[in-house]
Amino acid sequence: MPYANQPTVKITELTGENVKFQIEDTDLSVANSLRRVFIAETPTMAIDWVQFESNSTVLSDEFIAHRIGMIPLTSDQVIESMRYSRECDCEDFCTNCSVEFKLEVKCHDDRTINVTSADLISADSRVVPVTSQGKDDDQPYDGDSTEDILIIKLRKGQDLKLNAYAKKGFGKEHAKWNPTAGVAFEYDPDNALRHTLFPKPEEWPPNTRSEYTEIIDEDKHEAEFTVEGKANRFYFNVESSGALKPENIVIMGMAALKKKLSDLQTHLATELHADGHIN
Amino acid sequence: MNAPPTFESFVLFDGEKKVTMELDTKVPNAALFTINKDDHTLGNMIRMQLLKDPHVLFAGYKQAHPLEHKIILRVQTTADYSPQDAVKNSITDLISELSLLEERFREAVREKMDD
Repeated sequence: MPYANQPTVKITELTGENVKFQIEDTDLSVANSLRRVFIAETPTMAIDWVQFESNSTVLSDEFIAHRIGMIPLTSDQVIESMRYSRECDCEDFCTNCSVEFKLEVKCHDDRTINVTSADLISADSRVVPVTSQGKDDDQPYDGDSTEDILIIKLRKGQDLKLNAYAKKGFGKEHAKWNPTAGVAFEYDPDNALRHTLFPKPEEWPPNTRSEYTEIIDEDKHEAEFTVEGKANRFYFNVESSGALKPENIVIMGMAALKKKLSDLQTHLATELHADGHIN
Repeated sequence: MNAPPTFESFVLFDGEKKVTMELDTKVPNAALFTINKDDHTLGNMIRMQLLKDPHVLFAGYKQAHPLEHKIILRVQTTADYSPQDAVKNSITDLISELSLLEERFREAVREKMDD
């Protein structure tokens, strides 16, 4: 590996919801590609096929189907062994490429019934809506909002009956497959590279990551301009929607990026071989 | 109404090749690689890695139009080196860098969990 970087990683915080880490000694392009991959190319499971048996609610079929698709499903345990439906050799769906869901709620009494993600019954207990996870234990998943996701409210006489299949996909195809709730990305907190130009640097509040804590009191509000400087340390904060554990988002994201590169290398090799290495 | 399906941004058409190479006739040791169904995620990384190689005289990429899912990568090398080898080596370097990063991240997670 003649000209490869040797990056280092430091994790500053790791909770069930997000992971904060820094990468050093790598390129801006690599850090940015990682950011793009966490958002758009890390696969998860999400409902992508819905069949309605009955819908007398106030929302249309496609409206409800869209809402159900946006519900994040816990994908940690199955996603690596799951195949993409378009690549699976089964006809329609099978357990290797999909997970079946059913939802059936009818309102009989005079009160308003809230149809929530808890009413979505999965055929595979490993893939459930994130809010339904671990509902048997007393300990909530993240201690924060374990409230079920509201799909629709029913009045007396209204009912909803559907079955759906969740498939593997990634954010590039539709945002429902995005495992992150947000990826915070920062570099060069003191603006030594002048990648951004503050019209009045003194008006900007001091950066918590600034290495300039001593100088902040004087006139300097940003670092000296280093002409030949290159971005070297990148700060990430990957927040998960619950579909994947935050450390899994990072690990599976890096694996997805590696796979893209190695697939490209294979295709390149076959293409050049076919040409007979014409120079 | 006329929107093409979103999976077209990463699924190759039937018979479409992932990479095609065209030699540049105007200068020696230069080639134009057209990579289908890819975007800046790979393009920028490969370009940066190519620029690190001292035998590479020119490396640049572009996505000619955001609605057309392909990138064009132009590489020119010194006389003793071919653009194909330059791209191959750059991809190898990137894969090894990511492998190292993955390993270090896993280690860091294990350490963090042990705390």
